[in-house]
Amino acid sequence: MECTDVIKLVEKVWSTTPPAERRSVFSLIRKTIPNHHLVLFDGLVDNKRNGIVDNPDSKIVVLIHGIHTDGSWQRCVQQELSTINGLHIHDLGYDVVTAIQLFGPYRSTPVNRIAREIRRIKVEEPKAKISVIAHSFGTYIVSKILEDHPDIRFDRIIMCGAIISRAYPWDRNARELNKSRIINDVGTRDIWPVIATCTTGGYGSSGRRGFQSASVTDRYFNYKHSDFFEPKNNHIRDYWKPIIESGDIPTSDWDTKKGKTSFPILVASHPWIGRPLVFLIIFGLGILGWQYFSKPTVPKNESTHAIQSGDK
Amino acid sequence: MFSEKFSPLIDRFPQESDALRRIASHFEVVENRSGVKVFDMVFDPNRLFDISQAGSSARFAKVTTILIEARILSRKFVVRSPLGSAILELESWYDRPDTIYDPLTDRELELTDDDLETMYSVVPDGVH
Repeated sequence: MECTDVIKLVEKVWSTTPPAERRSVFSLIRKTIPNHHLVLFDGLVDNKRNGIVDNPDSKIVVLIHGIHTDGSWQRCVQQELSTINGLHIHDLGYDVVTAIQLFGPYRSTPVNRIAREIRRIKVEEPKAKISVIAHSFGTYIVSKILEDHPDIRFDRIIMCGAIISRAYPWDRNARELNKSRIINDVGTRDIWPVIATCTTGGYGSSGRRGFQSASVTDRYFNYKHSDFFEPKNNHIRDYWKPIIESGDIPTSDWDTKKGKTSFPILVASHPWIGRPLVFLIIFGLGILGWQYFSKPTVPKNESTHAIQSGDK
Repeated sequence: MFSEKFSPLIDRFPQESDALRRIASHFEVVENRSGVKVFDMVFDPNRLFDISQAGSSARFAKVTTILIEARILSRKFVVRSPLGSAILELESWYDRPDTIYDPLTDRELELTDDDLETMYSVVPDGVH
């Protein structure tokens, strides 16, 4: 029996039992509760007795990290946002995804795990508004959750280092969210979204070039892939906290200062040009390598013989 | 400092750390005020819910569970005389007797669930 099961049980029994019978009913149920959940069970029942109800203004921010990391940045976010009244942060983790998994076709395990965690939060705190801050592969997880788990909806979505396809159908998968509720922070020196786009399928360079769509607010920063968490940039405090606290979206100075995206990046990040081009280059290099290493070598004694006969 | 007892819990329970941090800072403020004894502090659940800004009944139950299991707070049920003083303390809701003798009014009182007040009190540390 998990915590969530105890919470669900108390909720259900309390609402379906007449007040006069509650003490005897809960006394019986208590005998079936595992010892390690008894304090929780008593607490839940007591909250009901004291009329403690969920606050409809309660906010939860879910943090989803990228690959090759267990999300140490999540603690920084937690610390920075902890001063917001009534806000609770859930740093959701999954087993480290390696580059091999990232580029391979089997990516559903972390998606399903995070979906399950969010569902659990929703069961425990049904009135809370859930927002998400995701980085890198975490943004891919968010996009897949929106696509495949329609029961999970977010109040706000903040992305950085995004590797979601630039053609992602936000208007279909997050139709309840307007442009001011989907924020994409772009790092104009971030190479990983481009590499992800041109070397494998299912990803896009939205973290490098933005979505440039009517459904998403893109903000540009002179950052590399993980500079959003660099303490010197104060990005969490200056650019994320106002969004979570009041819905204000601070603009970035770099939006107007950033230069044009270079042609090679435009080509590489184009899903129909970059990917075939990279595969063509790899294929070409493979052929060249094969030819080089499989060049027939002339036996030593034969060449010596040829030279000798020439001398004659 | 009593509030320092929260630090290991905040690290151990990251999902409830926001609420724990808020309760810890409440204790810190109280400790820094002269003349207030932390170990005499008693909270009713609604007050503690407000301090923690737990937001939901489920989270609040998790937070109180953490604090009870860490022996920082204890949960008690108090029955008061109509004159105001506590005349009975219980460990559990299920232990409630149907009647109780009130020495202050010299009367036998009939008890209902509404007569039981939940109280969270600070667990003494052996020194206090």
